[in-house]
Amino acid sequence: MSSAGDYTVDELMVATLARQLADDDQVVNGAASFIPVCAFSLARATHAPKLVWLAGAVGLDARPRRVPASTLEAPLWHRSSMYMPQLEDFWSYALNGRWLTKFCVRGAQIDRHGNANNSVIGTDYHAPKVRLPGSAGLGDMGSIGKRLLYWTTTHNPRTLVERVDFITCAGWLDGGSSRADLGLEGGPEIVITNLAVLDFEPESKRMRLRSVHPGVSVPEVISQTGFELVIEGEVPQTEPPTPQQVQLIREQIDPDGARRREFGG
Amino acid sequence: MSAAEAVEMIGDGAHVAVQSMGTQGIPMTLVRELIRQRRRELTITSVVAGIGIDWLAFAGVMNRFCGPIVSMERFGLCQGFRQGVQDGRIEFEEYSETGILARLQAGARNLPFGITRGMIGTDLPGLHPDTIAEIEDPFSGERVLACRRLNPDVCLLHAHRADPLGNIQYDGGTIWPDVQIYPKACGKTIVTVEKIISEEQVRQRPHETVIPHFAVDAVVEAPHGCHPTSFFPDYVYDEAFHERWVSLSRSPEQAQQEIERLCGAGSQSEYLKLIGEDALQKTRSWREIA
Repeated sequence: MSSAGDYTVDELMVATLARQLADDDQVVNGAASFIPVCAFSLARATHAPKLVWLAGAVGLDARPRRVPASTLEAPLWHRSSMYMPQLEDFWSYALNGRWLTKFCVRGAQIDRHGNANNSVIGTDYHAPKVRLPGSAGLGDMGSIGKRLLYWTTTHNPRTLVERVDFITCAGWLDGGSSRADLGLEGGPEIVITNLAVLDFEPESKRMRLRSVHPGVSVPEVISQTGFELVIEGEVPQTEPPTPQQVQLIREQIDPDGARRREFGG
Repeated sequence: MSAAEAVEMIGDGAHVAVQSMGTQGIPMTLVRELIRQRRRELTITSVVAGIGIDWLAFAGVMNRFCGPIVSMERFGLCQGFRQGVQDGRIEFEEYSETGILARLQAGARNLPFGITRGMIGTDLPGLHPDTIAEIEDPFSGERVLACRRLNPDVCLLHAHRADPLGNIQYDGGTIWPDVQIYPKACGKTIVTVEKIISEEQVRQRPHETVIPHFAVDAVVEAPHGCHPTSFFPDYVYDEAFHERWVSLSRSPEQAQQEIERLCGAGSQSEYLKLIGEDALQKTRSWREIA
């Protein structure tokens, strides 16, 4: 058994994300989503045993023996109860509105209103400074009523920007009622980073600092954020993972440390 | 038919839809043949393009990608493709997944456009005045996006089995959208298969047939034809191969040498000899580690 305080930031992020998931939630993971996949497994092993998980958008309620080196490939959807055909079945269940209501998003850029960019860095789309991988399903998930849970392991002014260079995933758009004005439901609810947990102020839809991780100061978070955060009163500390959660992550869920692929390298 | 004969059906400037899901299921035998035959100015469509598109980009075969994402997943960005886009040699016509699928579904069903609620509020529709337009639902007045039909000239697929007629069988269901949509939307369909079996064997297991012979124009036998990508449930991706590629592809010269070496193999069996049985066997034994 690990002792209290014996954990690393990846484990804290996994436990924090797991707490956002309820027993009656249904989730799906995309590419290179190690923190979400660990969080889904942790939630299922603790408070949310009935959490429905469509592994790699293919494997229903997969039971991989451990988190493998890819979150899209067959080893992840090992021992599933169904392989979901993507064209008709996956997209119909995802678009229908009744199912798969939460979706985890990692953006190369995330802005103060929770819009995300995975397309291009630079102001000219056709002559980008950096060509990023592209929308994949993000260009859909932000627009079809999903409750978006963001995560990033690089909380710095290059990732958390005033305004994304390109909106690949629709967040709260220009803030306020701008998202609702377009008829869009759902939207970003939380941002879990390597430094802090953030959400969105209900009226302005501006990003708000909700807690800082143990050992991180509020001024540090402010200096690592590319825009002015909403800060209301005393900012509490993020609840650390319990020794039981840490043990589950290390020994049962992800003994190979796939989750650390998301940090550097 | 040989891979060379099949690929001769594809002309310069063609729009080619390629089965691909990141590190999974790319018909690499046909990709290498496109490079060997020095095709030029192709437009490529994939749902999740991977290492195959990186080779086509480095080899100067393509100048446009039409789809949602180019990524080798855990192995990162495709450097040849990315550099090509940044230098202006390759255009990335970017859609969300439901956007490109709506376009192909319309093409499959001979309709002028498909519709989606995806992409609303993003900057993606604004990139495509000629193919994406906001329209009003005539019944409720709701705003949705019309996605203009797309009919690529040809598609390249890899399947588990085919009979001599061209009935195509897949194991594990039709997980990937490519398999279900490309043969219906594309002018021609070329399929490599792990194995050619008899018509009688197909008749014993018709539930495994997912593409009817009348929609198939060419079948090529190519065992391990997705290498270095995976082909569920037969084999996983070749990890060492991808890692070597990630390192080589930092240098365009080294990347081109590697592509020339691998595309020099005149047949699938010659190619597999270059890769070596040890490496292939490792990809077949994935269940032991899963």
